[in-house]
This record gives sequence, structure tokens and C-alpha cells, in this order.
Amino acid sequence: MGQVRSSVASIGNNENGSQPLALPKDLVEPQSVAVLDDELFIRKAVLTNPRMGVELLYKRYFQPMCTHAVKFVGAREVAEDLVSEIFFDFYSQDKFLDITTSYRLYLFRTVRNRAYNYLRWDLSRKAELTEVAQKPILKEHQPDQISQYEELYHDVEEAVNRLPVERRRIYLMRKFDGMKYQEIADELHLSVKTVDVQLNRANQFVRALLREKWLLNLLVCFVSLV
Amino acid sequence: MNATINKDFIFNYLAGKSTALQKQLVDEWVKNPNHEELFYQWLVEYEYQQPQYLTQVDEAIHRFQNFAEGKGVRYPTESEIQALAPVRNRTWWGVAASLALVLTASGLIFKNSIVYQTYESAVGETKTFILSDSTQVVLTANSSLKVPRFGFGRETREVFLTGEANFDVSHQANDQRFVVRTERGVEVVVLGTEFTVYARPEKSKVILNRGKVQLRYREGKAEKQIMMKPGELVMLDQNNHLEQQVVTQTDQNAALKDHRFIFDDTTLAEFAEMMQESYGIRVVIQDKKLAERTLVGSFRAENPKELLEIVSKIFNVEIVKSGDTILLTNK
Repeated sequence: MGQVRSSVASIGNNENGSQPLALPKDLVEPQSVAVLDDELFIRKAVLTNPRMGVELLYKRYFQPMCTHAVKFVGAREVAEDLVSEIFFDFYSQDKFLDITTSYRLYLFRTVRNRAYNYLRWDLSRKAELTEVAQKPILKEHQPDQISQYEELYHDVEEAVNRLPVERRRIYLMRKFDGMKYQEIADELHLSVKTVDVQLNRANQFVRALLREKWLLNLLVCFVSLV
Repeated sequence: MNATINKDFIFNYLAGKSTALQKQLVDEWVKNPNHEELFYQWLVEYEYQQPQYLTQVDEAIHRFQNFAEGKGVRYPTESEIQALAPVRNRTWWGVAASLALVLTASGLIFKNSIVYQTYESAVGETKTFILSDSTQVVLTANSSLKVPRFGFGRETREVFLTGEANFDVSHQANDQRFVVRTERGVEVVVLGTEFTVYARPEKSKVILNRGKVQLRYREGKAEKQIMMKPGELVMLDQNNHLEQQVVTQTDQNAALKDHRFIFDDTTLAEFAEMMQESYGIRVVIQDKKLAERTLVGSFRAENPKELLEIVSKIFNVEIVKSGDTILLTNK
């Protein structure tokens, strides 16, 4: 396990800086081989023994995938479910047979896309009635600019950061540490009712901030697709 | 200008330190498939350097193994179950399960009230409490739960149930299992999650929503155990004979807590039985045809009276009350 990780790092270091970006195509080629190469062993494992291969992928990518997903969805349980599901699909639907890029690219592109769509769905499902009435049925879609992903989760972080300190603390205990209302109440010497109220307000605040920009944005995306 | 895009550039971009113009550069740059590979490679590196929290990879792999084992064998036959039973003693490891279990248990009598703390709920009452290991229990109507006063959570976590309860089991650092025992030798072994045990006369039923759970029971003299996979339903009759396994949609366990009642092709006769079990209300339906009509759906009701009213409206029947008995008749 340690070996696998360090090999990722070393390849990254080699390419860092020395990676020329405006090279002619034939010179860029070896680069892509190198990128694939660090997954060579996993790739072979996946093709000969999918289950073992997927377990190797878990060891290598589960942690960073969760860390990434949680930035979008805000709650670690949701993030882990989302990531697990990607692995389950990867395995049970034989997705690996069609992947021409690195598994890393596939897995991370998928996690970003699903997290993005989850958040979109989450924002829209509790929208005001009038908004819902106007809302077309959202299909999964991919934003056409990669920076949309970054912008979305940076906005999530920003929204959480803007919560009042105490409320943010409760919010993070619930969402991030997955603590129960009772546990939060005990630790902060509050009543369960207070925790409930604070969480509701925090949720509403975060949502309102995100929805302002993203729900509209997402609708526009949809309309432009039609 | 592209030449400025290197790992530091992307790291800054991921950290949200890029200007709008720089973001646009990334958008263009990444359209080249080789750059895209590089981007994800750096992204992984970045996430390794700045973990938001540490995941339990081993647990996740266990969940995957459970999933992989469940692949294609969602309806194991009885012989398969028996064949599996002795081999898979330890597969409850890493379990994250949510299940509803209906099993027969009537008079669990624990004479020694010093040894056990007893929680009881009266007819028509729902009680919530938290055990010393911070497992949350919702005890539904007419049920009781006995928890050892001494040593609970230290060596094992075992509780004894009569009736019906929803458990939100706390996960322990040492992966200590949580066991729910009932009188008829049916045991549920689970590792840190939420599930419901429903222990009533008539028959036993286990429904598993998520994860994996081990169910041990005795049929005649033989001790048996099965591993359940998500979406499975196991029913045990009064002799603990395995009746069937089907995939079903189960929200019941969650429903218990917020006074929702879920019926899935439940006949009125079964409904009457349920009213008796949960609320001690005798509901009589004399018309056989009426008793066979079925109920589908989820209803919210605070109390049995409300539930009865809803049901009577759905079937357009009349409620006649005489003493403790309620008579349902066609209008």
C-alpha cells in the first residue's frame, strides 16, 4: 500500500515543472504512457481479478475521493456513500472494460459529476413551492467547464464559513462528524431542541446562499441544453 | 501564456486562489486529454496532502466485499443458506445494516431485575432512550427491552427484546458487536448501525435494507444462521422454519419513529391483528370479503384512533365501537 502511494507521488514530482505544455503531439505521447503506467499493476489486477483490482483501487483512491466529494456534499456519510456507489458500479457493471483513460481520471471525473448532481438535486428538492413548480425535471448533466466544479464547492465552503461561529460548530458536528442531535446537545450543554433549531437555521442559510447563485445557474444550464 | 500552468498553478486553483481569468485558462488547458490526465493526477496529490478527514478504508472495502458477495445471489435458496451457514461465521465483520425483524417471542421472563435494567412501553406508547454505549433505542408499543446492568459494553453488548424496537447502534472503536436476543433463540448480530427488531407472536420476519447482518436461529434442534444481504426479507414461522426470501422495499423501521404506518399489500385482517398487537385494540371484521381487501401505502397517524379513521375512509367502512372492541362493517 505504501509503495503504491509513494509511486504516485514520485511520478507527480518528476512531471512537475518539467512538463512542457505546448509540446507537439508526438512529444506529449510518452507522458500519457507514463501516467497510465503508474496504474499498470492495478489495471492488470482489475482485468484478471476484478474484485482484487477494485480493492486495490479502494486503497489508493477511496480516501482522496471522499475528501474531494465531501467538499461538495458537506456531509461525510453522503460523500462515502456516493464514492462507494461509484466503486460498486465500476465493479458490477463492468465499467472498467470501457475505460480508455486512467482509472484515476474516470473515478474522479465520476465523483465530481455525481457530487455536483447530488448537490444540485439537494438544492432543488427543498426549494420553495413556486420554484419547484417552474422547475423542469433535471437530468444528470456535466458542466461544460471544469472550473464550475471548483466554483461550486468553493461556494459551499464559503457559505459554511459565513455561519455564526456557534452555529457553524453545530453544523460541522452534525454534518462532518456525523454526530447525533443528542450527542451534540450533551457536548455543548444545549437542549436537543436548540440543536435542532440551530441546525435548521444553518441549513437554511447555506442553502439560501447557494441557491441564489446555483439553482438559477443550473436552470440556465438546463435550458441551454434543450 | 499556457506555459504558466504547472502543478503549483493547479494547486492554487484547487485551493480557490485563482482569478477568473486563471480559471478560464484551466478550462481551456484541460481540454487536451493529456492535460486532463495530469489535472486528475495533481488533484489526487492535492487531496492526499490536504485530507478533510481520514476515512476508514478497510471498512469501506468490507462493504465492497459484502456487495461483491451479494452480486447475483439476491434470492438464495434454502439449501444455499444452509450450505453457507457454517462457513461464514465471521462475515458480520464490518457490517452496516438496517433491518427489520419480526419474530416470535412472548413471555421473556427475567426473574432477576437486579441483573437487568428493564425498559418497557405501555400499549399505544412509544419510548425513546439511550443506552450506556450511546446506542439509541426506540421502543414501540407494548414492548420491553432488558439490558444487563453490569458489564454492558465492556465485553459484549447483548440485549433481550420482547416486542418491537428500533436500534441505532453506536459503533465502537474495537468493532464490538451488538446482539439482540429473543426468546425463541433468534438472534441478530450487528455491528454499529440502525435496525429494527420486531418480535411478536404469529411469525418472525427480518428485512434488511443496507449492509449485512447475521441472523441465528434454531430450527428443531439444529442451530442455523444466515447472512442477509440488502433488500432481503426472511420470514420464520412459529417453529422457526424459514418461509421465504423476497426483495422488498422497506421503510418500516424509519417509519416507526415518526408515526408513519406502511402497508404493503396488507389485508384488513392483518391490519386488525396489528392493532391488537400494538395497541391492544380488538378490531373485528365479520365480512370475509372485506377482511381480505388489501391496503397499500404509507400513512401518518399519531394514534390508533387516527389510523382507524384513515383506514375506514379508504375502505369506506363504518367504525362501530362496543366496549373494547371495534367493529368494521361495510357502509
